[in-house]
Amino acid sequence: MSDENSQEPEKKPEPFTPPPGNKIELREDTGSRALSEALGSVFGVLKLIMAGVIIFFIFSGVFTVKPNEIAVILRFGKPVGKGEAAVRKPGLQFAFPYPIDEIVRISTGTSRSLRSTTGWYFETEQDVASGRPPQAQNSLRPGVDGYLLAADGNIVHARATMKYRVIDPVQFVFYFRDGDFSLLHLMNRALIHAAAEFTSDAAIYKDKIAFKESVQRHLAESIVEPRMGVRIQALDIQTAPPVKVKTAFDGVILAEQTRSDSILRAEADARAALQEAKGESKSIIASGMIRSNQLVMVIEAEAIAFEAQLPYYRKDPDLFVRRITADTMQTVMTNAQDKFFVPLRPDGSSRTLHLKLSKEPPKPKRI
Amino acid sequence: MKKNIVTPIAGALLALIFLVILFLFQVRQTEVAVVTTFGEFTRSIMKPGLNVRWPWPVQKIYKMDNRLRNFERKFEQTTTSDGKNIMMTVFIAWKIADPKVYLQRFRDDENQVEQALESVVRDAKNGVLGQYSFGDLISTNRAKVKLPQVEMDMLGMMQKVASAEYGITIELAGINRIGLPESITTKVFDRMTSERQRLIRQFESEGRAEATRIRAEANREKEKLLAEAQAESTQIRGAAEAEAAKHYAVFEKEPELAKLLFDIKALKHATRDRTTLVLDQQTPPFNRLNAKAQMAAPAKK
Amino acid sequence: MEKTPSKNIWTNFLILAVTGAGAFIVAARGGSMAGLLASIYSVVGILVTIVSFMHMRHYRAEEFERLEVEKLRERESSVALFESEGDVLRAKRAREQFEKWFVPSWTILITLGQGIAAYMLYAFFARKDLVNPDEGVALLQCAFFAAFALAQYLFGKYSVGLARYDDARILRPSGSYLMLASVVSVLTAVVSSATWFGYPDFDKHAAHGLSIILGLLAVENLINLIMEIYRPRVSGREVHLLYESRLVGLLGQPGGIISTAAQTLDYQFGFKVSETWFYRYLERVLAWLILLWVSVFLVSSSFVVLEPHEEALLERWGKPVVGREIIGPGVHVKMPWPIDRIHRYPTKAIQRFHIGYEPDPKLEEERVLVWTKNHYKFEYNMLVASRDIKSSSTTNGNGEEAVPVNLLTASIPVQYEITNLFHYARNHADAGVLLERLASQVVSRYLVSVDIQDIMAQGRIRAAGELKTLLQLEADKFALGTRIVFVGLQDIHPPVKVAKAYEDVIGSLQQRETFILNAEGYAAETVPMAGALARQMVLAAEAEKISKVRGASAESGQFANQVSAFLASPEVYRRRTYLQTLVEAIGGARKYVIGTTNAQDTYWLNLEDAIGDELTNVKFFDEKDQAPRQGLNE
Repeated sequence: MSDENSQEPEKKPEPFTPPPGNKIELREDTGSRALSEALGSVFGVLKLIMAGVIIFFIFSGVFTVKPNEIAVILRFGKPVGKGEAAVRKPGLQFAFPYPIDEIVRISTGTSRSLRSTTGWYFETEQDVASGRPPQAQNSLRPGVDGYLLAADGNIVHARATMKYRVIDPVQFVFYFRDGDFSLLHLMNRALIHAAAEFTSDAAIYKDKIAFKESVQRHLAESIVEPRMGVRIQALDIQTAPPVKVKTAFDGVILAEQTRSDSILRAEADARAALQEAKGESKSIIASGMIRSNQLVMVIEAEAIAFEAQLPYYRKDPDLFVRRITADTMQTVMTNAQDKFFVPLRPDGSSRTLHLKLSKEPPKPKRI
Repeated sequence: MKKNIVTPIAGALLALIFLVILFLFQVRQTEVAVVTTFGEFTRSIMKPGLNVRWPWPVQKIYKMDNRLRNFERKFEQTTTSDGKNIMMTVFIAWKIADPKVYLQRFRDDENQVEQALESVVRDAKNGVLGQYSFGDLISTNRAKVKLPQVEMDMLGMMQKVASAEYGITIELAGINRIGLPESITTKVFDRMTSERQRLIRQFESEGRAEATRIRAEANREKEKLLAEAQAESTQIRGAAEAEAAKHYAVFEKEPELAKLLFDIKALKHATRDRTTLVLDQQTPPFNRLNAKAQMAAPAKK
Repeated sequence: MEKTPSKNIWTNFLILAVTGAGAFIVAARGGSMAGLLASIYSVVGILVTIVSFMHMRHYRAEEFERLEVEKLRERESSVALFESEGDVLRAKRAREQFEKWFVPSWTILITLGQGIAAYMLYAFFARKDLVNPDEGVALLQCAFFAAFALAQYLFGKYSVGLARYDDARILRPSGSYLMLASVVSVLTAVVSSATWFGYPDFDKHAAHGLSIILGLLAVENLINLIMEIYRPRVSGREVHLLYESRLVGLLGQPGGIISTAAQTLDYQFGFKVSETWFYRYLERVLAWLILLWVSVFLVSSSFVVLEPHEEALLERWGKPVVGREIIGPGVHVKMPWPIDRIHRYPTKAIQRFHIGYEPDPKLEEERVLVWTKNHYKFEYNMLVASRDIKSSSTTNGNGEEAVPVNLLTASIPVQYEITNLFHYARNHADAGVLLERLASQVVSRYLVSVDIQDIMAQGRIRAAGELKTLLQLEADKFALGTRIVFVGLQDIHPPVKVAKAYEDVIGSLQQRETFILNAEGYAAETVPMAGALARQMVLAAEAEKISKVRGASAESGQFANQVSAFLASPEVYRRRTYLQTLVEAIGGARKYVIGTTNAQDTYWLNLEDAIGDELTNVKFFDEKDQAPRQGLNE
């Protein structure tokens, strides 16, 4: 405050022209002159920038639509064109700059894919990479492990993968804040409803096709296609029993297999046995026939032999007997292996014979 | 500064843009707008397009997203009418129906809306589930499963509050996730295992039983066949015996002779091998070797 | 520089120290936080005074030196004295060194101290759970701080005046700090009196604001330090005291704003900005500008714009304006600020609160809600009746039946809107809180009389409706001016501790099924097999029967035929058959034909087995006769 210059503000300008070439420089004015020059240059730069902005603005309307995209132009907020005409195909397109037109790009791709987020067990990245289901757990943690309840109150796992195409992009993008998410919800819902209609057996093994059809039906029920402007191209359903009881489930299939195998085997055995019995019975009968024939023939032969001998006997029975006895003795003596002859004692007393008879060595059995 | 033709034009352009910004506004396809004049509600604009307005502070425009929004919150455990537990998440899709009411109620603060909606959704979900028994949700009798009806009841309840009080409409409501409390899943696994085991045992034993039956039947048939064959064979032999009887009648003519002949034959056969004879002098013909007997004439009879 | 400054600085130091200590003690006793800040300000002032003092000492030494040198120069006009100028002017160099090194570092220290203190205090005062100052002591506190303020103001003004008139710039910093301290003390006194009148919140707000200003001081010091580096150094000019804060000067003497501003600009740019026409113009116009600004402010408070969801109460001098008690959305005109005041309420918006639990923001994020885990910070247990356990009910002394009770936790959200703003704002001090209390009461009362099973399942929807009606009745009874929009029962379950047991009951149903299935499995395993075995036995018997029957009949047929053969020639048949059988039987055996008639036969039959058998197995004198006695004589 001690340095204040006392310059009066109301100084009357003196009517004198300063000598040419003689500039009165006051230190203060140079400062303000520099300031104004600086400001002037700044304005110049600003003008340039403005011009550039305007040019850029006008030409910002030209844009390209990439190959896997389509675009919709909103003029003052309303889409230009109705239905299919609203959709701009890939290529070079023109629109007015913002705020007149707004370009909304929608990626279509050929096909989008969506996978359900309910009903499948929790897989870490390793599990996914290895392709095997995770370790068995004793319980399922809500919020982490997904599963569905089947009609018989059992727990099953199911997963749906949907491939779909957006056919009405205006509907899909402008009516829904997050169309993919809404579709996901509907898919999850369809899975839950379908699972409640099938027993666990049917869903996992026996009736998989019907299960898939049920999911499709429930999706159609929520009129998903017209409502969302999409077309579902493919729906792929995977089902699985919970890891903990998988062996038991597989065991049932195996047991069914075993059952039919046992029956088939038994039937085969039965047939074989019957065949064998038939054969055997035939042979029994045949042997019976042979034996009976044999019997008759033998008797017949003996009867003929008897008839032949009969007259001789009748003629002289005693002689016949002796003759035939002697004949027999001859044969017997000849055939006998050992013959012992015990002469009589002169006094006619009896002898004592000690016969040592040993056992026959056992013959080996002929098999 | 030099007078430039560009500057006034640029200035005019800028002024025009300025005016446009002040007096016009767009409602985008995805938006609805509420126009208030001096704070008072004037009109809602539901259709997209260009509209005219007075600039602030005369009129203020509130723009709100009128797309269908998804909402789902908690996976919650609740009771059914028969006292059983079930866990469920319900998702809804809602959008603004009456922008004026919506604006008044929530000032377009989505957080506030979601908080209010959460209470309504959970109340509807748990309340409706309390009316249905577990068997209405899960049952092997397909006719009994009432899941769609449950969803419709929930939607009805929520929609009543939402449209009457919040100015929004709920277009979709559905079950997004279903489950059971963790401790019960353990028990369900046990039951499932037992159920499967039961089937396994049933099938295996059915197989065995049927096989046994088939084999037994086959055995019976076999035995029957063999027995029949034996019987028939015996019968044939019997018939042979009958025929043999005819020949036996011949022997009756002189039975003694027949007996003798047969004896002889048998003797010959029996002694054919492995026979040891111990004889003495009294046995004919060796009795002939006896001196006394030599003398004796054949006498006896 | 004059002599008197040192004495003055000492006095300043003393005053600051005393008032600072005093402020601290009083503030500690009374719990006033603004007072705490007053003592902190004093401390900063003390620091500044210290460095001021040292600076002054240096100046004085330099002055003495200069005078001596001049005297010396007058006496002896030889040039040789100034050969080593630097040597002679030691004090000057010392001062320069002091100014170059010590002052900046001290200033940095002060800045740091201010900054850290400001930061910590700011965080401290931003907390929600601060204790209010003591109301009883407040008046005493007020008196003390008023006294402090007086002392500080006196000495501060004296110092500043002295600095201006006596050209003792060095006094200015401590002086202005004293002035600032006095302002703070005044503020504290005012706030204490407010506390005494029952508005303890002002203390906190004042303290908060003061800590912000402390922070600003630190920032200003920092900026000063930085700018000092870029200042064009014009020799001969006075060096600004680095530790002097213009802000403090400003705050302490609100009158000198313009001159201070001019000085600052002058100093910073190195030339007299304040002399330019623009600046002078601004000076003239400034007053008018300020006046305009104030009037605009006042006029703008005459207009009220209410948003679509709001309503407001209009009051003139605290009383409702007749005919316009409540104003709705839109633009309204009223008398400017102190005369008419409005209170805004979000009437159309949904107000929410909940009964039965205290939320925990972290647990709110949980997506999964199971009964066995806590999902709120705290859940209140409600008493609920039970219909089932009638059989074990006990009777108390009066013969009334005592019903067993259960505990349940319920989370009940309530949404309402304000329909009658007048009632809402005027009938009760805080209608929202009252409504919450009423809701708690209604819920507890209601739950006591319901059956636990019913409320958890089937009766839920009905209960929500009934609660809504009951709560509305209560609210109307108290004329709260609210309409209940929604009451929900979003979460009803047994307390977390019990939930496991509850689930176990349900789990046991599954277990029952398991047992049944196990038994069925056993049955499925044994029964069919048993059946099959039974059948097998029957079939075997059948086969045997058939075999026997057929065999027997065939054999009897055979026998019949054999009989006819026998009858045809009985003896012959007998003999022949016997012989046939005999020959077959003995065909391969060893035959001994003993035909002796005149001997007594003794047979030694050695029936020993071949090698290796027991010797005891020998049979002697056995009457066994292997060979038939074959006789030819009959």
